[in-house]
Amino acid sequence: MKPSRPSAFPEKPSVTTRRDFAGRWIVLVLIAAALVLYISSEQVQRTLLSLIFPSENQFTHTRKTILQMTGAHISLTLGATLLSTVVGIVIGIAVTRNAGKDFQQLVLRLNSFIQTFPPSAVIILAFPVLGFGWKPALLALFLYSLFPILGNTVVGFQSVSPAVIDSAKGMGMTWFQQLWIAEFPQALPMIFTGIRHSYILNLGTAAIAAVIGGEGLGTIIISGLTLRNSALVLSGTIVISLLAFLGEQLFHMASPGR
Amino acid sequence: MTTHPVRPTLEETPSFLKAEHISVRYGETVALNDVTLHIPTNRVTVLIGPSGCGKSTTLRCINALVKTSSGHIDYGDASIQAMSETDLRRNMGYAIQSVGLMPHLTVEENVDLVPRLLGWKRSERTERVSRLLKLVRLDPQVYRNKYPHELSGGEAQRVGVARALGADPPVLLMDEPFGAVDPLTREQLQDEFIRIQRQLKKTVVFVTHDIDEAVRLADYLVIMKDGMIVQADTPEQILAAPANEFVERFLGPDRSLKRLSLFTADHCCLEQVVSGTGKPSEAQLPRGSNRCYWQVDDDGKPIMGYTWIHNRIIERPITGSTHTVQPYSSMKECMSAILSLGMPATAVVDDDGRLYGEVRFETIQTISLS
Repeated sequence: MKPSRPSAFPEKPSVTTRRDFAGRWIVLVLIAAALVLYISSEQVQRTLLSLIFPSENQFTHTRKTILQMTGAHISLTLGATLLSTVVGIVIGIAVTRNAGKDFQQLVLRLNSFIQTFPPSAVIILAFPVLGFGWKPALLALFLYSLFPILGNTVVGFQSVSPAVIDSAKGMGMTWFQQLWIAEFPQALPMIFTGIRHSYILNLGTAAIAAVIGGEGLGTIIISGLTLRNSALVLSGTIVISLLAFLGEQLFHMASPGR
Repeated sequence: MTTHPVRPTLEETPSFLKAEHISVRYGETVALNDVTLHIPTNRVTVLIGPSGCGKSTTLRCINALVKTSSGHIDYGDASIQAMSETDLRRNMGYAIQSVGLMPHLTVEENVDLVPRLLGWKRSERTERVSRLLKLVRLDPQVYRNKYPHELSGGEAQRVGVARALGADPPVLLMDEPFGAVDPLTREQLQDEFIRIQRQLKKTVVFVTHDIDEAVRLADYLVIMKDGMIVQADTPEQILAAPANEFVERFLGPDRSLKRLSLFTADHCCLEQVVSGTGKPSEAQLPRGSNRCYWQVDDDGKPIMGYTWIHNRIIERPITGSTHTVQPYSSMKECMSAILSLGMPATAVVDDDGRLYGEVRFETIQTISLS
C-alpha cells in the first residue's frame, strides 16, 4: 500500500513555486553556514563579541567550547522533542478512538495542567530522583513539550469530518486502515505544527538544564549571568537563535501540504 | 416502437437480502421497531419517510454500521451478524449525502479505495477507475488527478457514486446521495442514476426524503414512520392505493402528476417521426394535421418544429435542453418540454443530440388515464 499524500489545507492548494523553494534553500544554507562558522571557531566568536562588547576581556567559557555545548544542547532538544512526539501522538490517537474518548477531557486537562509547571520547578523536583545531569532536564523538557504535540494531535484528529469517517467505515476499512488511510494524513499537518512548536520551546527551555549540571548552551549563559559578562550570555543566545531559525526553516520545508 | 407505457412490474424476485424482525433500541428510544423487509434483487428499493422514521437506520443496519438489538439480516445464506464486518462492507457500495471523499486523496485514489482494500492488481485498478469515471460521465483525463475541493457538489457526488461502485459490488447502499445538491443537478444525477442502473442492474437500497425522487427511482417503495413500515409496494400501487391517510398526505395532492415521474420517455416514445432537412412539404405535414414535423440539421439534430394550430402552420425553434428530452427523461420532463415548446409533442434526442423520436401529449394523457 503506498503512503497517501497528505495535504494540509484542502481549500488552499499548494502554491509553492520553484523560486520560493530555491529561496528557502539559500536561506537555509546561509543560516547553517553562519552557525557552523560561529560554533567551530573561537576566533570568530572573539572577533564578533569584541566588536559588540569592547570593554569585556573574556569571550569564551573557561572549561567548555561552544561546540561541545551546542552538541549537548541539540541532543537534549531533539531527544525531548522525539520523546514527546512519540508519546504525544500515541496518547493523542488513543483518546480520539471510540474506546479512549472517555479519557479525552481528562488527558487534555492534565496536559494543560502540566504546562503550568515552570520547567525549572520540574527540574528541581526531579533532581532528588533522577540525580544530577541531563536526566531531570530531559524529563522537564519532555513534560513541557508534550502539550503542543498532544493538543494538536487531538485537534487534528477531531478535525476529520464525520462524513469521511462514516464513508471509511462504510467501505469496509479496518480499524487500522481507517486510522492510517483516512484520518492520519488529515491530522498530520496539525501534528507537524505541534512538533515544530515543541522543538522551538525545547530549544529555549534546554538552557535551564545548566542549573543542575546539564551541559547545553545554558552553561555559558549562566556563567555570563553570574560573572555579569554580557558577551558570554550573547554568545550562547546567538547559537540558540541560529538553531531556532534553522529548525523553523527545516520544518517549513518538510511540512506536509505546504 | 413502444406506444404503450410499460414499466417493469415487480414480480416475485428472489431476494438474497432479507431483514427479519429487526429492532434497534438506544436505551429507552426505539429507532426501529420490528421491521421485516425483503430487498428485491437487481431492483431499486427506496426507503422514504419523515425524519426520524428509521429509514437511515434500516440502511445502516444492512452494512452493520448500526447493530440490531433483535432480529437478523440475511445476506445470501448467511446472517450478516455472522460475517466479518469489513468483508460485508467491501461487498456493498456505500454512498452518502455528504459524500465523504478523502480530502487528501485525488479523485482517482478515492475511487480506487475499495479495489485497493481488496488487493486488486494495479493495472486492473487503473483501468477500472477510468471505466467508472466514464460511467458517471466525468472525463478521466480531466478529473483523475483533481482533489475533492476542486469539484462542484454534483461532481463530488458523481465521484461518490463511482467510488461506491468501485469493486463492482452486487449491492449498493445510498443514503440521500442527491440530497445536498441543487434541484437541477439533482435531476441530472437522477437521470444518470437511472441510466447506470439500467446498465448495471444492481440491488440498490436508496434512502431519501424527497417523494418525487422516490417515485422516480423506485421499483419497490417502502414508506416508513416511527421506526415501522407503513406501506411497501411498487410506486404505481402505492400511488393508486395509499394504505392510509398518512401515506396519502405524504404523497401530496399532485399524485397524478407524480405518476408521470414513473414513466420514462422511451416507454411511450414514437420512433417513427416525420422529419427532414428542409421545410415540411404538404405531404409531410398535411393541412390541419395535429402531427409534428421536425426539421433537422446535417448532423440529424432537431432545429425547428412545425405543426398546424388554428389553421396555420406554426414554427418553433428548438433551442436549449428544455425543448427536447432524452429517452430516459421522465414523462414529467416530457410534459414540461411540450409546454415550453408550445407544440403537441416534444422531440426525443439521443445522447449525441440527434433526433430519436417524439413524445406526444395525447400519449401522456392516455397514461394519466390508465
